[in-house]
Amino acid sequence: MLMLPELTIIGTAFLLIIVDLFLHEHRKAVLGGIAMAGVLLALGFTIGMMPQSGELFGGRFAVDSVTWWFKLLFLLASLITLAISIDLLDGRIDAKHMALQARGEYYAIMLFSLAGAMYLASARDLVTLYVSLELATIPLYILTAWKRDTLSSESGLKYVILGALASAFLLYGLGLMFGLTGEMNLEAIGRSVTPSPTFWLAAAMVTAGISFKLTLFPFHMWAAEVYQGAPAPVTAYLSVASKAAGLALMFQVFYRMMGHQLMAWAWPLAILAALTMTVGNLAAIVQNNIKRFMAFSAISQAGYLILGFLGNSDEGIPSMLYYMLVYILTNLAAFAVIVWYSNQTGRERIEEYRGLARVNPLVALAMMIALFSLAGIPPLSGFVGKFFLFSIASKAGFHWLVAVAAVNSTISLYYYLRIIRQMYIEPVGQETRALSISPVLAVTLAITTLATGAIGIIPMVYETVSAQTISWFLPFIH
Amino acid sequence: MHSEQSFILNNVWLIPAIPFLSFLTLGLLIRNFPKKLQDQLSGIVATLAVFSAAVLAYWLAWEYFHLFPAGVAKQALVPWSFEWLRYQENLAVNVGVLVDPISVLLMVVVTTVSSLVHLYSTGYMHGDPGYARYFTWLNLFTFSMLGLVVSPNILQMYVCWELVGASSFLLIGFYFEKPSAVSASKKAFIVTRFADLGFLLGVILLGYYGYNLFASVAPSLHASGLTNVQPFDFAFLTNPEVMNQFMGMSDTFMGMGVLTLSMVLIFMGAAGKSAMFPLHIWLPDAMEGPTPVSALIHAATMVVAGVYLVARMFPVFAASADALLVVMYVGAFTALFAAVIGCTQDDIKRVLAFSTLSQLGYMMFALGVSSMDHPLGYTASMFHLFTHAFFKALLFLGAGALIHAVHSNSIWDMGGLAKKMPVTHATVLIATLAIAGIYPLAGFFSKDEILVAALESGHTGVFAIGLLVAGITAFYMFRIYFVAFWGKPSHHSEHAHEAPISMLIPLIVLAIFTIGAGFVPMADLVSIGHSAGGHHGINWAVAGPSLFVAAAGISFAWFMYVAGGKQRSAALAGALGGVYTTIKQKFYFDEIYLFITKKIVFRFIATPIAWFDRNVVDGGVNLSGWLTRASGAALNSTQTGQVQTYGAWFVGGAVTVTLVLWIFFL
Repeated sequence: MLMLPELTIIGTAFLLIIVDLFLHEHRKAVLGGIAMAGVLLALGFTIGMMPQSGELFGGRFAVDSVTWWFKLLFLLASLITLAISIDLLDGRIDAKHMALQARGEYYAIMLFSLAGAMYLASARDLVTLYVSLELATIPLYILTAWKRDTLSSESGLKYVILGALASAFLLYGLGLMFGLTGEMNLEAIGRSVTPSPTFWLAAAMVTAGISFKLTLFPFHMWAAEVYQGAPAPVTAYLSVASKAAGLALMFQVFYRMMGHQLMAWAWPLAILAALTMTVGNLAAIVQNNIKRFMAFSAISQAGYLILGFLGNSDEGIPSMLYYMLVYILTNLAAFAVIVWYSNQTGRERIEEYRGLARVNPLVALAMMIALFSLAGIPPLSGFVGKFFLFSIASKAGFHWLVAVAAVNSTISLYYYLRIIRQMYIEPVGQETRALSISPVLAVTLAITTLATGAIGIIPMVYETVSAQTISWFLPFIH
Repeated sequence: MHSEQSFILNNVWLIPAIPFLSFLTLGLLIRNFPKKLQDQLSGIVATLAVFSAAVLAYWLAWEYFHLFPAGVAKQALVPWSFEWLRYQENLAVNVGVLVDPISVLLMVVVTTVSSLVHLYSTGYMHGDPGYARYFTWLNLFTFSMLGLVVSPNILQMYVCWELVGASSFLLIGFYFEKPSAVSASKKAFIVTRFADLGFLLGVILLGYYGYNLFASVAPSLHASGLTNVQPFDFAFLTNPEVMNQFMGMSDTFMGMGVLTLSMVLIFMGAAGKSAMFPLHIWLPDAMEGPTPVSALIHAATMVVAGVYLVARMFPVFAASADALLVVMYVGAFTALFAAVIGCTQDDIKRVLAFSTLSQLGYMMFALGVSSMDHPLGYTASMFHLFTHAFFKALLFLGAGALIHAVHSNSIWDMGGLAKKMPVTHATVLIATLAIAGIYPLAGFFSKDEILVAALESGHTGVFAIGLLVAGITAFYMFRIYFVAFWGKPSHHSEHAHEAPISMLIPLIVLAIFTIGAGFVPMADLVSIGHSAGGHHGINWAVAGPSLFVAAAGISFAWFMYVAGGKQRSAALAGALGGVYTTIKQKFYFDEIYLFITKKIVFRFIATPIAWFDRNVVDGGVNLSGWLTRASGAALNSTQTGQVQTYGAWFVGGAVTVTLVLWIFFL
């Protein structure tokens, strides 16, 4: 029964494929509803079962408090992504050239990726870990190329090639880990591994593989083109669900497999974090395409995110999970606007958001709140999340890193304000008119925006995460 | 406690809360109504709110002074409070209401004058485009002033202190389309803010040392029944044991002990708000506001906040004799200085403004001459505050009626108004006699008590100044009275007619107060320190000379302006020459301040700082911005779009991570 959420997702995916075959074209709008219902059902199972722990298949599949939280994050991210995809796939858009085909397969493939991410969080041995990671990743290659125009195909191909490279590194790293210890179980590897040159090599290769998924410098290069080329809802999914999967993978490797060496990892991770946030922020300044811009914004956010790994403060885990939750809601609120704007106008350049606040004030307000939260302006949740992460770094003694992060936050405010300036200060373009917004998108945008404000103010959310996960990693580091 | 049965004693918070609610209703709700409805509602709502607060204040005074009748030591009650800020275990700030003799007295004064001014304003401001805005600010002021009066701790008082400053700023600049009003409001705000800097520093000093003492003193305070006391509370700061500890502190700054220094700093704030020399320059200009505002804020209530603050902290001032001496000298000098200037001004409101300064000086030096052993001056100061509020508000409202009638502020444009405006004439005459100190009007009793206190304290020089100022006051007040009511009608005043009834009722009510307020047995109600002593009656040894100088002042005014006409006063002005001009130009203080700020501060401090800011700071900021963009562009050029490049970066990155790990694990 512990696998019920995953089984629900996979069942829904197969149901979608089969129903798709027998439905008449104009009835296919129901598919989006089925997909969302499946995810909602799985979300219900997950919330009902968390935070109990248990295992299946001789310990190859297990759940505990952190696992449940990751599944919750994946399901939430997918649910919102589906909600912002539906209009585009059902063709309820004004910019007809943006339309996507084959919605049944689209939903099914997205759900397969979701199932892979969920298995990833539950995997407890090397093979399960790797297979579920591939299950999470390969559907994303397909989704990236879904539009089949030049840009989309090119980015899909780049993603496959570089993804294969990263996969290869990760697999070699995992293989070396197995070779060093003779163990398949992650925690068994963690208990028996000892530092040696081979271990460093293995650790570096695994880190490269993880950094690819999390878009850490210098493994982030793919993100810019893939985010830009992929259809907007897929970019949204990549920026949150794929990143959350990367974080889950990092939890598996850094806590379960290398927990004993965590203190020694602090400096390399601090350097990685500093470089990632700086590079992401600096490159974001000069971007013109909003999806490419969001790619660099997401890269810098990943730099903040891994501050939670520094030191062995027990608040690191809840801080990272909380930040991921905040990031998912905030980033998807911003992407809801981006998807909506490209649906209705086909525009993706930052200058083309000119005067949006005059014609669609509420949408512009939501976008502004989301961007301010990403920049970390109090009292929005982005500020609270960053505050917790920065305090982890500070407690671990990395005061210089907190200074770097603070300077980076300031830089990020500059480029987030660029968009706000276009929306609020620049005059309206000549043919700009008020754009309609569909009910699904409006509700999604309203909920994510409100949540962006609310979970920063209501202390209950962080307290719940913290209470359930605060001592989770103690067995792995002692 | 008896207070358990009393509704009003348990719900004193209602008194400031009602004007506040009315302020919110006007400011948030009624302002959205159509203009006509807005005007109809705002005056009624605001006036009713303040009147109901006034009724509650009288009820409270009745209950409180029956709870502690004459001869019974009056306790300070805090019937309602809640914790607002808690920094640490021993450092918290409450918001609450303090009920003691002077806060009850001030509540009565503030609500009385405020409600009458509200009523008067419904007539005076009729048809003004900013009618609703006016009443909104007036309510905000009333709330802030009441909040200040009932503050049980110095921090709440500071907050309300700034709130009254802000509402004063808003009301002085009410006619914001007039440049002179705008600059007057800025001047008032900047000068008082500058003074409040001292206040804030004093609060911080007291708070810091009080907090350090708190842990050691708290147990014995709790034992003596002072539970729930916090370091910023007046009850804590004025506690004898705490003051002893303060006195024993060895820290000094520029030769002053901690206590003296913080008291001098706090007095700086008080001097700013009460416009004591040399921070007096804002008050005459503040007359740019509507006349009822001058009556309420710049005569009867807000400007006495400084006096009230000194009275509130009187035990602490008394413990630091030096600080009290400062209070006395500043007060006495201001009383004389302002009275002299008052003789030469032509704008009726400015004369009244300088007379306010002078009377505030009386209140201040009355506090300065008293001590815990001889507290007569304390009672006298509060008494004078009480009576002055009524006759000065009456003078301003009367002046407002005159200005309303002749559309000019200059006394020379008035004249011959005694017959045209009989009610105004009668009430203003009562107030003028009161401020001149003629028996049996209110001003006589309180001024007499101040002079007695000064004489008994042994400060003969201060007593002499007080007596002299009494004569000058009588002179300049009757100067404007004779010129405005008895002089020859000018073309301005030919068509003047009596003010509407809504303006006359407040005049009449205030005139009744002016006649009756002197008979309030103030010594039974408000006292401090050791000698609880009853009413000492009229000391004719002092009252005789004071009545004599008042009569002399009035006669001289008659001689100059009635018997002699314009020629005689012009001749005297000509004979005095440069001295007259200097006084008329207010001793050139505005020019001196302007010289200091414009020629010295702006040129030698502000300009170099501005240059540094424009070039070095901004240049640095621009440089960092440019560098950031440039590095962003450079980084962007690594995004070649080539998979090979990305792959190379990937592999290079993996190798680097290996090397880094090697270094850190070794």
